[in-house]
Amino acid sequence: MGTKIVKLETELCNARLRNPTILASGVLGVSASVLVRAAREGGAGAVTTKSCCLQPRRGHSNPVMLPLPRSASFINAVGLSNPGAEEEAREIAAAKRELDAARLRAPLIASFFGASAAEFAEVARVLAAAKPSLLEANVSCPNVESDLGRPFAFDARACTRIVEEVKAAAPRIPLSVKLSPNAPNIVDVALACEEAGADAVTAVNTLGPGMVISAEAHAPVLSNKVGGVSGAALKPIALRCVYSLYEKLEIPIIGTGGIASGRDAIEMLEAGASAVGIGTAVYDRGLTVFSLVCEEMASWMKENGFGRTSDLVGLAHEKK
Amino acid sequence: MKKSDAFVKKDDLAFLEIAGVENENPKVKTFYFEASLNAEPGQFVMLWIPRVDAKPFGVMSQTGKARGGFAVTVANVGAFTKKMFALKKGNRVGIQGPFGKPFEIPKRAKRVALVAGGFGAAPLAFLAQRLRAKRVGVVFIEGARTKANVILEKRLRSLGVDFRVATDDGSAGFKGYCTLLLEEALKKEKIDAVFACGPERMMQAAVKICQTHKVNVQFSLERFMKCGYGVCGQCACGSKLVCSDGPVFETRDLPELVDFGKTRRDASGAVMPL
Ligand SMILES: Cc1cc2nc3c(=O)[nH]c(=O)nc-3n(C[C@H](O)[C@H](O)[C@H](O)COP(=O)(O)OP(=O)(O)OC[C@H]3O[C@@H](n4cnc5c(N)ncnc54)[C@H](O)[C@@H]3O)c2cc1C
Ligand SMILES: Cc1cc2nc3c(=O)[nH]c(=O)nc-3n(C[C@H](O)[C@H](O)[C@H](O)COP(=O)(O)O)c2cc1C
Ligand code: FES
Repeated sequence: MGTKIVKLETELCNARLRNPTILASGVLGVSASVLVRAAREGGAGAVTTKSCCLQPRRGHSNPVMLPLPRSASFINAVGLSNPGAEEEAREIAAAKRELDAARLRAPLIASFFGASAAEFAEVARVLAAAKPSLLEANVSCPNVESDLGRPFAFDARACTRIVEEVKAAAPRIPLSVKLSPNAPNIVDVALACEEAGADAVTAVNTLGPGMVISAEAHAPVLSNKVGGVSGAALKPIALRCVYSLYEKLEIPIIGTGGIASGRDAIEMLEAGASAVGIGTAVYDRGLTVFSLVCEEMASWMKENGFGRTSDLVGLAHEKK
Repeated sequence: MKKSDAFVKKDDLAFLEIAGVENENPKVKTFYFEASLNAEPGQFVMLWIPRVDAKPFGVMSQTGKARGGFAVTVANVGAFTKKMFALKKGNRVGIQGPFGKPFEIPKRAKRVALVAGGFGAAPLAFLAQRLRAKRVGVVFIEGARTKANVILEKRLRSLGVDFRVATDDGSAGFKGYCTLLLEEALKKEKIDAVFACGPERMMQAAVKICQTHKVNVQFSLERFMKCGYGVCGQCACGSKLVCSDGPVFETRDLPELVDFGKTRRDASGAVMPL
């Protein structure tokens, strides 16, 4: 086999991406300039901001993040620190200006969360004014149970309300819902989101929570004691989640969890994702991980006779 | 871990005994550790006090690999450093590192100037140590509020640097800003490169002076850090990440460092004046 031309352009909720790699939320995405750099220098097809809510949050004390030695994985409990929606909207607007000025056709995805469906809607309204290409409702952070309670991602009814209210508050911006790999009913939750009007789902957020203990300090290392696991350790679970979601959903899936190479990305597309989110691999492979993954994807596709990424989506499923 | 068989790493946590504590002045202490860090001047470590917090500190000195020792100099400025000050020889803390991009020593430099403001003298002391080992001449200019705040003077003098002091009140050395001493040195002496560490406004002034005199300057920035791994994005200054692209930057990075001398971000990520 083999093909001459490989095209990585990807369409996602009416947005055109140069390639299917997306900077995942919470990684690098605190400031406009670094988001733009992830697209310009890093090669990301789209970039996601760090999740924000209505009021500023400091997040947890350090340590908030640790590499898990010898496993290309991370554990983190940043605690959803963010400067609040008003400030974030300014950051998004600035990032969009910079992306346009650099003629980078990299859509900007605005991630957000709230303590209630009403707060989700209010934040979406504020962010929508900055015109992101996609809103991503983070209903699945596992690190903030002490103050925000059990993630909404476990509760299909709660997700229905969130999607309905956000769609009413920001009807013009497509909406993705970020799902939890920890929800045994992930497919039911996703179906509820789709039915309520979500335009996509992002699968998945971090796994766990898990814990790291310092034997010598006789203490958990993360200040929050527990944190979400990401990277290679999450990949098989993320693949399973995306595979199950693809069987039931019509809307596109952003497959996120442990993507670090072109091969990982291809596997994720075959499981059913239309695009892939990349977070933790920024540590191992650097900011240019997006370009590297794209190069590896293109050469794999060339060797295996695939011209477009859309040809790969869902290939791991038996033909119906 | 025990003594010199211990290695400190970036992606694993070492838990080390404090091998010694030295008072530099009432607000500044140096903590010694016996373990191999393999740091370069300008790099930093994360110090962790269990159930409290973890914070970045520049490496102040390092001894040869065989004995494997290093030190950090800590100024008592807030909650974490106050807890650090309560620690004594024999207490243990978590350490990760070294992090960040170090100072680069230009190959043909014969004589260089180091400009330190406040505890910025700490990372520059390690650089001075390395420079002297390479037989590079060092003019060390330290700025402090008053005589009692001058730190590391004895250590620096014993390295054989040309030590010059500026204090705000004139209680030691020159009365005025240390950047004026830098300007004078650049005017009158042959200086091949400049290294600066201290309050950002002071470094901004130093950078201007160096640009006027067409001398390359490397400077070490501070921003609020969460991960240290170049992942969380919290420490951004312009499009650069201070923890992994820095903390040491140089003249040619200035177009990217648009926040330099102007703004920083707090723990929430909100922008505020320096
Ligand atoms: C690369 C780097 C090297 C450093 N080297 C040294 C050193 O050698 N010696 C030394 O005494 N200090 C050093 N610092 C600063 C040191 O990290 C802070 O003084 C310390 O974190 C203050 O913590 P605190 O809880 O005691 O004070 P806080 O009450 O938290 O804050 C006091 C002041 O310190 C600043 N600060 C707080 N946390 C951080 C943080 N995580 N990163 C940067 N600034 C912070 C605040 O903006 C504030 O102005 C360095 C910082 C960085 C980024
Ligand atoms: C340090 C860190 C911070 C994160 N913060 C957020 C966040 O604010 N919002 C969110 O939806 N996901 C957040 N995530 C989850 C990632 O977006 C992603 O879903 C997860 O890490 C799996 O992808 P990966 O294996 O490529 O990292 C965070 C992950 C990491 C490692
Ligand atoms: S502190 Fe996290 S990227 Fe620098």
